[in-house]
Formats: sequence, C-alpha cells, structure tokens
Amino acid sequence: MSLEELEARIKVLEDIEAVKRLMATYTYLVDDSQWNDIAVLFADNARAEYGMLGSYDGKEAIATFFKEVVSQAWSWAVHQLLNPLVTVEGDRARGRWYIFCSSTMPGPEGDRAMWVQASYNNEFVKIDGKWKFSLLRLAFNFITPYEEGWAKSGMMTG
Amino acid sequence: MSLEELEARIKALEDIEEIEKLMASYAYWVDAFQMDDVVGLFADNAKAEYGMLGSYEGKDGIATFFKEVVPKTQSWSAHQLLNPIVTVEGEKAKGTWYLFCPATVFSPEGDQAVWIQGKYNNEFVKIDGKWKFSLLRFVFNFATPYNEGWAKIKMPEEQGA
Repeated sequence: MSLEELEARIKVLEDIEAVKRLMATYTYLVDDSQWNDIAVLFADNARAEYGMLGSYDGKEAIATFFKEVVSQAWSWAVHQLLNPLVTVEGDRARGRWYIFCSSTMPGPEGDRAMWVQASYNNEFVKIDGKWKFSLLRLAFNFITPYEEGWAKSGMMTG
Repeated sequence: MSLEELEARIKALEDIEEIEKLMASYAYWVDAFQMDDVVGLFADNAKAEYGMLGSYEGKDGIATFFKEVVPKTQSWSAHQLLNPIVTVEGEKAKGTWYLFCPATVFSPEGDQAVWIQGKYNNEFVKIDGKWKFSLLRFVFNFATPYNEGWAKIKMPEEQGA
C-alpha cells in the first residue's frame, strides 16, 4: 500500500462527504428562500429537471425557477433527505436520494399542509476543487394534501 | 503528500462520523428515556436551548429538562434525524440537522399523536478524545396534532386561539 493509493481512497470518502454536504446545503438554502445562494451550487451550464414543474438550462434559469415558480407554489417547505447513494468517479459523481417533504401551499382558503415525496437522480462535477450540480433531476411520487393522503390524491400542484 | 497529512484527512472524516454518531445516540437515548446516558453526552458547562420548552445551562440544568420536563410532556417519540452538515475545526465542531419526529404527548383526553419538525444548530467540543455537546440549539418549525397538520396549527399555544 503506497501513500498514493491511500490518498486516492481517502479522496473518494472526502468526495462522497462533500457531495452529501452540497445536497444538504441545497435543501437548507431552498427552505430558507436563499435563491441567490442556490445558483452558486450549480455549474454554469447545469440542467435542472423538476418533472411537471419544468426543466431549466443554465444556473440563471435555475435561479429564476426558484424565484418565480417555487416561491409562488409553496409558502413553506422542509426538504428532508433520505437514502443517500453517492458514487464518485474522478471529477464526476452521481447521487440518489429520497425526499420526504412537509410543506405548505397557498390556496384560496389560506395555507394548506402538503406532503411531497420524490426521488433525486443527480449528477455532479468538480470545478476548481469544488463540487457543483451538473444535473438535478427530480421525479415526484406524490404531492398530496395532508388531509387526503397519497392514495386519494397523488398529484396536485396547488 | 506525507503520512501525517493523510492521517489528518482521515481524522477529519472520523470526527464527522463520531459527531453524527453522538447525535444519533442522543436521539435513540432520548426516545428510550435513558436520560442519564443523554446527559452524559453534554460537556459540563454545556447549554441546551429548546425554544418554547426553555433553555438549560450546565449538566444539572440539562438533567432537569430531560428527567422532569420531557417525561411529563411526552409519552413516546422517535427523533428522526435528517440532512446532516457537520463542520470540524480542530477540537471544535458545528452540526446542523433536521428533525422529523412523530410523538405522543399527554393531554386530558389521553395520548395525542403529534408531528414535530425543527432544526438543530449544535456545537461540539472534544474533551479527552471524546466529542460532547457544548451547545444544543433546537428551533421548532412545528409541533402539530396529527389530526390538524402544520398549516392549521403550527405550535401548541395556537391551539384554540
């Protein structure tokens, strides 16, 4: 076992940790409505696919999505991440997560409690030593009013 | 790259892992009402801030919270931790988590199911080679009856308002 081999193994563990941290940072920034800071987490030419909420190319379009679409559709959310599965190959990485999100959506009768469950299949790239999203792909499983549940009302965009 | 440099990088990863274990132990022990074990996770002069449930200083104050306040408030809980971000600097560390906790609280009509959601912004200190809480700061987002949900009732004092 040479120093170089050990260093390569340590680097993989550091990269997995850094990618998980990037993903957690993303959730806290989204939940705190820090839209301008979110764009920094994406590579310049990144793509974000949010299912029925549309796909967006480039970090400016992604920031606009949060400012104009997300902030209108949701009044509050906590993006709770589960089941991380991160695979690193050099300066590229992939990561899967489940998300189980309690949120509120504004409606005609005021805020409504919603459950959101979805799965992330993301890709990452290391640029100048920092991991960034190159692809964020979200697939919704349900967006359902708290009082209804996901069998009665699986998808609702508010 | 020297052996010493590699060892420092491994140590940073080990410290993150140990702090996540400390936080998970806290969760399991609170849920099992092993309050002496919970208190043992705190540094002697630690501070614990639980929002509407008060702030507590030192191991004695924190022991009062866990032995007298918590058992009179809730009969059962599962402290589910999510979204860890742990940052280590030498013998100090910071850690952020979400908590999503189903629980049952005492009420005049018997046990009541509630959802609790909030965020921890904690600080840690390494003492004699073991990580301890120096600050536990919990901010509630909601503590809502299961039958109501977090849009209708965010926190208990809003009930009946």
